[in-house]
Amino acid sequence: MAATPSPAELREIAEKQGVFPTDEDLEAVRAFLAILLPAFEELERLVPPTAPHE
Amino acid sequence: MSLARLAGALGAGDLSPREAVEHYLRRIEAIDGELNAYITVRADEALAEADALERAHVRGPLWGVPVALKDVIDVAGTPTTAGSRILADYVPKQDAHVVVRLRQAGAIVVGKLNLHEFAYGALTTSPHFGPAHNPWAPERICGGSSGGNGAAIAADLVAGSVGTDTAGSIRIPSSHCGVTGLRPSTGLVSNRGVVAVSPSFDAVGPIARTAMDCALLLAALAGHDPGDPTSVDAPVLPYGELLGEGIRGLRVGMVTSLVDAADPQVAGSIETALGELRSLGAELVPVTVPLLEHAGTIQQAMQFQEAADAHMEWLRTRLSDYGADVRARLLVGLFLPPHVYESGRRGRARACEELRVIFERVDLLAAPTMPVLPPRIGTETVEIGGRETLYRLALIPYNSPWSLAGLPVASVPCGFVEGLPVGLALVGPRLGEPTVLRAAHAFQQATDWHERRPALATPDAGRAAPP
Repeated sequence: MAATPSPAELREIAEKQGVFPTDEDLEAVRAFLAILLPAFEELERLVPPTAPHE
Repeated sequence: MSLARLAGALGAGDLSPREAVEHYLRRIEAIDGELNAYITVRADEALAEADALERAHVRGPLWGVPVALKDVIDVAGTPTTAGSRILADYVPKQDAHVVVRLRQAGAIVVGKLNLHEFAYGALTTSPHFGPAHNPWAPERICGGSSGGNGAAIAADLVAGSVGTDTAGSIRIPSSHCGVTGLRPSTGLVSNRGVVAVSPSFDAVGPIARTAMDCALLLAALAGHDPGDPTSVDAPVLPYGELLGEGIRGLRVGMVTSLVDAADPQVAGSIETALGELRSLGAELVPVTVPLLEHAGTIQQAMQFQEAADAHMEWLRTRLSDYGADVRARLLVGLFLPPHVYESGRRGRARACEELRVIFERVDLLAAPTMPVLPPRIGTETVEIGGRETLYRLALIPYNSPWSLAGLPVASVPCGFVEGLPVGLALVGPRLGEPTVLRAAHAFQQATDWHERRPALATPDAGRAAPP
């Protein structure tokens, strides 16, 4: 299962897009990602790229 | 008074458009200080428009009817704040497509309604404009994001309203405020001139007192708009004229997993309502929706990135001007790899197909609009069956499945628990608005939940009701 990115990793991704969040912002984002990333991994398994329903 | 009755009274000459507008302006002045339903009241403009209507030769079906709009819908010359600091001073030069249509029908826009900042949340507790208070219990939320609509209709501060719904934003406040709302099929109503959340799912629709009111508003709102890439070229129907056939023989699929997972008292109201549908002649059948538990994930896989894209320039230049919750939600979209969006698209395609198959067996689906009662303002968690959960997570399985597939959903008041309203969701197939509204209307002909009003909405608040 993908680990939630660290604040430093998130900051780097954000800054590459011209966005400069605070530490508090990144902690709030990590709380979302902790729930979302495992759910998105499960979704990827449920509907893989070759899914016949696509 | 319902919008339908008011429109009838106006048409019969029992009162004038100016008198109708003055009536609601008095009520707003008397009551809205407690509710904060409105962000902007267009008193002078609405009165001038009422006078102009009286001089007009053509009278549309909503001639002289005062309506209010969620403050993401552009009205030329009136601020569209989106409940935000970022757009606090934005004054559009053009009406949204739906406002053009409302004006053609003869409606008068009396004001713009409070909402969750940028329509991206379900609380309507804007840090910039303050929370909207639930007319049934002012210490509680109205739901959202169209929370001001719910409050304004419940407290009779306007005859009808227009909101938006990406993942429940019409249905949630309708349920929590004891009013009737309709999320139309995605694309049936134009989104042009409306602040976007997530274009794949955004839908504009009515919130009013009754299914008939919603039908009359939808007939004015719906219609193909070549200027909106999400608009579908579907026939515009006289929805208000299609409600009278009753529901005998209608096959209604009960989404039992959603009933079972709701707060037991809410589930009790839903089961009573389903019994009422049965007594009206509907055939109830239990239904399992296969991807139900994943629907929220599928929608979020697309929605987070679409919302971030829509806000990218402000994320770069005005980040600190967002409220903390909306800022975090928007930032999430920056960190999701592109394959997440693609799995969302594949998941949506499969969910749409599975629901299409279900609608070969049933005419409608029925479920609780919300699994819980409106929580107190400032509370982030709710308790369901003794288990505490985040409110924002609890609502997702009840709302995302239908948004995901672009289906029409009505929420109708169907009971009260501890003095707070409960809503029944009636879901139709794509472009199945006539059946959804017919069932909602039949239910309201047999029940009076939609007629109950909170104490502060008594007719004499703001002086007399219209003659």
